[in-house]
Amino acid sequence: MESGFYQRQLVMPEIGPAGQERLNAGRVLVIGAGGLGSPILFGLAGAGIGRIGIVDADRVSASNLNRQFLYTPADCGCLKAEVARDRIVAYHPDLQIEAYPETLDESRAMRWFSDYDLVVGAVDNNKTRRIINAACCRLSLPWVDGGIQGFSGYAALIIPGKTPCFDCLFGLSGMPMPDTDHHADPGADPKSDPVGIVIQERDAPKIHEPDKKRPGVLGVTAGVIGSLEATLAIAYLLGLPDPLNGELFYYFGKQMTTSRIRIERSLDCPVCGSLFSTEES
Amino acid sequence: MKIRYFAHFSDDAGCTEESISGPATVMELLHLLADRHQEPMRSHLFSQDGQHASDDLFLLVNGRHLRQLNGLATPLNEEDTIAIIPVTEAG
Repeated sequence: MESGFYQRQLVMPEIGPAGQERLNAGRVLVIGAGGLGSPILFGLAGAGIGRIGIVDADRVSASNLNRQFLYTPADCGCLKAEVARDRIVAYHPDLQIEAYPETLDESRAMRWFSDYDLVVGAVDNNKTRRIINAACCRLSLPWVDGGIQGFSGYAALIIPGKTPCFDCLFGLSGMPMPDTDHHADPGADPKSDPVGIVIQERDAPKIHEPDKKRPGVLGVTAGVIGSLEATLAIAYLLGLPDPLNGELFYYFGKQMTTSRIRIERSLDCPVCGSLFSTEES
Repeated sequence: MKIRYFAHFSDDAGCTEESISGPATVMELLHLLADRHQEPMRSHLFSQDGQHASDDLFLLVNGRHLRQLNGLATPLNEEDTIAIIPVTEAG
């Protein structure tokens, strides 16, 4: 790699040569290569995270392109994980980038996650977040989460046994997992295969009718929240103090305000409750 | 009690937080807020049949989810802080 690649961050007191070595040794698995995944992947690669995995079973569709800048119109119909891998490899050839073009489930999560230091969630549904959360709690693996809607979004760093888990943060502890809530992008109408992968013709972007059943998403909101998630991941790998300390961070672009919310963990949470000592319960 | 509004709820209320007195439960509070701020606050707070809280928001009373408390029947005190937050699930 061009020796000047890291020049501007090497002079940062929080990084320096030792910090850069830590980043280069870091292993991060990103779940989702869409609106959040685009800034996350470029952010992690730019920081020099040495090994990055990309999980996404979907294919690129025209309605992704307002925010998923990993892709171009020519990529429509291609597997996101594979296109994203190729883009990140082209951006930073020295990194080890792996694509997992498969749907995440409990068994794959347990198998894949154990090869990484940190998981970053960039998904569009809470069922997948709960799968990530359960596996990370079982493996005591920290993970970063984020979600968006319209002009707003949140980011969180979840450290099993230290912070509330995802189910605690969103009041889902003990709730049954929904049967399914994976949803392809609404604009990506066409044919879906039996596992929900959207297949679209390779053609020019089309203007689709909006799907009012799904929340709107502004592209730049994904950029903000994805960048915050990447920041949390980089800070964690550098060994910096947890800046959120278990709180949810909210961003409101329409009002240009931010807020932090402390949410108490659920004492009887079946996912993370056993990770806390009796004294803490 | 202090009400904190997040995202579009602050548009609906015209403020990010306000003080309210009177409601004895969370359900009473939601009705009071709907009456005070009208639409679109009412539609954002309640399900289409108007009988339940919307699935598109979550409510915290002093940092605790309603599910950990007593749901919409959770009693409120004047010193409580209630956060009204929309679900932001997309990615």
